[in-house]
Amino acid sequence: MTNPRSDVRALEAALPLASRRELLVGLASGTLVMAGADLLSPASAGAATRTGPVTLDEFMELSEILTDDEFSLDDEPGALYLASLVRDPAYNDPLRQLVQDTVRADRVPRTFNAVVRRGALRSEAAARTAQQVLVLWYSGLVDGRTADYLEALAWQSLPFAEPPSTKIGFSKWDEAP
Amino acid sequence: MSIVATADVVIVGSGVAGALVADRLVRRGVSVVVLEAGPPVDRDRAVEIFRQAPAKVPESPYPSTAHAPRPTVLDIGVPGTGYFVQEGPEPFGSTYERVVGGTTWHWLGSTPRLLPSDFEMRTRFGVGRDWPLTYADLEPYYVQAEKEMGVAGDGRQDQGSPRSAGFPMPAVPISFLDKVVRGAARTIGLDVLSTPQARNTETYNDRHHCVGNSNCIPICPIGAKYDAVIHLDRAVEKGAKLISDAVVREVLLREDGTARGVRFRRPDGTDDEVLGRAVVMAAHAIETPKILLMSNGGDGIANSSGQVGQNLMDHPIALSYALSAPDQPVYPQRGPLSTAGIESPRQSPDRGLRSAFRVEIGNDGWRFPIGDPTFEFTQGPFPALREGGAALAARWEDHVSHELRFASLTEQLPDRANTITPAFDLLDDIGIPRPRITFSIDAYTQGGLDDAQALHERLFGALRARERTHVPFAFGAGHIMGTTIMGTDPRDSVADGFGRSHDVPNMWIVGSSLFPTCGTANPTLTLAALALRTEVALRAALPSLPAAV
Ligand SMILES: Cc1cc2nc3c(=O)[nH]c(=O)nc-3n(C[C@H](O)[C@H](O)[C@H](O)COP(=O)(O)OP(=O)(O)OC[C@H]3O[C@@H](n4cnc5c(N)ncnc54)[C@H](O)[C@@H]3O)c2cc1C
Repeated sequence: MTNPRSDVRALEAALPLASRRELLVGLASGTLVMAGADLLSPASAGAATRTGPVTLDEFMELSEILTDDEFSLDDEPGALYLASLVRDPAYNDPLRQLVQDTVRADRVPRTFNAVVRRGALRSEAAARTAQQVLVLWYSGLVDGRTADYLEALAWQSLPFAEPPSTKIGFSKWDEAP
Repeated sequence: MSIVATADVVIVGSGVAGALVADRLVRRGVSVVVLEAGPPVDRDRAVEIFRQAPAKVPESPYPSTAHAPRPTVLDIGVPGTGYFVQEGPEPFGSTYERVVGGTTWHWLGSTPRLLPSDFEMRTRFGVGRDWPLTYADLEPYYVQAEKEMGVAGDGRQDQGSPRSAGFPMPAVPISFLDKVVRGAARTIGLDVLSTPQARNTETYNDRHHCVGNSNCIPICPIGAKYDAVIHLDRAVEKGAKLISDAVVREVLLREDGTARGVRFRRPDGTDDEVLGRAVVMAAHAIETPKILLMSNGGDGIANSSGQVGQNLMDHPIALSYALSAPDQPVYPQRGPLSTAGIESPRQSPDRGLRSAFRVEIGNDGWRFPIGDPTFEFTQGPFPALREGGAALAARWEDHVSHELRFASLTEQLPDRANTITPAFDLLDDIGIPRPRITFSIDAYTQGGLDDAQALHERLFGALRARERTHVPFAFGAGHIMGTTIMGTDPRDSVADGFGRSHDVPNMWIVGSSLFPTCGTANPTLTLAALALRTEVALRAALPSLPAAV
């Protein structure tokens, strides 16, 4: 039997970006093996609908908007965050609504404040979901595991420091940055 | 059960104490076997494991094995969990590693010396005990230990411990944060001194200089910080035999009371033996006394004083943290986790009444009290702010750039009621008793903890710091001391001033378990100096010891 993970690597290389994101969601939610065959079929690859479940592309776009597009966000942890939000009944529907009101809207708001002005965070559930999206990206932690440490925004948003275990250079600490 | 090796000297434990002795002995032609309970560590892999670990605690990069379990800071705070059997009344808060190379894998690397007065607490202050040696006796070995480990320091500063030689390397530059604290401290009559530390500031012994990975605890990714693997590898290269995953469970005695060797258990539960002319116990201050007390069918050895496992000490830590003034960011999270401290409270004239202390200034923001920023973000007020985008990033940056923390190490006096004994009724996965600990902090140490927090508060005042928090309980320092105390009187101590057991003449103990009192200096340089002194004594005694059969 072949190792499903190495199949995934081969698939990843062959697929266009949108489909690769679908694959990552599959990986994160543990549906990989079943999803594998479908992912090869062009009909289902990247087939997001405007009312259907939130795709990884949409989640990444929402994440970029909520962070004012200040950081380059990586698909791989994004897939884990999306899978976690979708699994949680407190976030699943509000997330879909949030995407509906932002990424799927006719005129997509481009910043966090524009999302607020649009009224998309007026409901408690939507506001809490947006917060949770930000907590995931800042902490890099999801469901008690590390999705991404070095790229977690809690570190990436500090221009004066590097995440521990990566160097800043000898003696750079002795002056103000 | 079989005898798997025979050597002149059998060393139990491959941490800095055992590794230094092994290295010195093999270089002088003495045959050595080192038995180590845990497995080897691959540095690159350990760095990866650290990055993946959700809680970036000191133990996070290292394997937890069923056969060599160890305490972790995560289980210390949760009664009834973990490796220690904590009997209270207070939890014992310090941990150690059980892997090849031991706990210096995750130590910080601070290497102050003890003060001359620390050796004479009874004579000078009427409390604790005197050491069976003086500062002057140990000073030449401090010089050697600093050279072996590679200590960087500023010889022009008076740390209160007279020096006969300079530091092997120039000091680690103090941080910008230290300089801000120094400016404030001077307004209240205190000075900030650079901390001597076993961290390369230039290429030293073929090891790279520090490049500011800001991760000394739990793992230096490039080995710029000293760890015991350096001496262990050297010893093995020169012919020492290292047996890892070998959990020593007893020291074997002959009928005449001399040590014959040790018995150890493998992960699969089978037992084997290694024989030697001398045995060196280097398993640190919890496991060394535990092994001695488990020996002789559980009746214990080397214990005519009754003090094996007693006088357990730590440097209980007073921890305070705050945010610096709004117009004075301090930019922590850069460089070695501590580069300076306030040392004058170590020489307090009140040492007869209350504990002295040294203030460690942290460069690590709130990692010690709260956790890595990735975790702190989930705990703090940020998620509740209903803020996002660039505004949230700016607010977070502003917050972290102002984080300050002080950790003061206080002194604990030897108290026979603070004990570690084998829990014969609570065994680990391979059937070896877990450590049972009784521990309390007395009024003497509490006085020092209170004084330290009062000083932190004055410093915060001078810094115009905001959101000041003084943690209302003491943290463990990771400094485990006492438990096989040395002294001149065999009725009142376990070993003599060279670490030689009063009762078992061919057994030596190395490590901070020997400390009769613990002063306020981080212990490792002192235990390294003592170990080098022990090696000389042991080698001199070797010709007169019985053959290994
Ligand atoms: C978070 C932290 C930070 C620290 N920072 C500093 C600092 O800045 N400065 C300082 O001076 N000190 C510091 N320390 C303390 C320092 O790590 C110890 O003093 C030092 O490692 C003790 O050396 P050792 O060789 O005696 O013991 P260890 O390094 O613990 O080595 C003992 C070895 O014995 C082995 N062993 C245990 N049981 C058995 C058995 N049954 N059979 C065989 N082998 C066994 C262990 O696996 C281990 O490898 C720190 C400690 C911690 C926890």
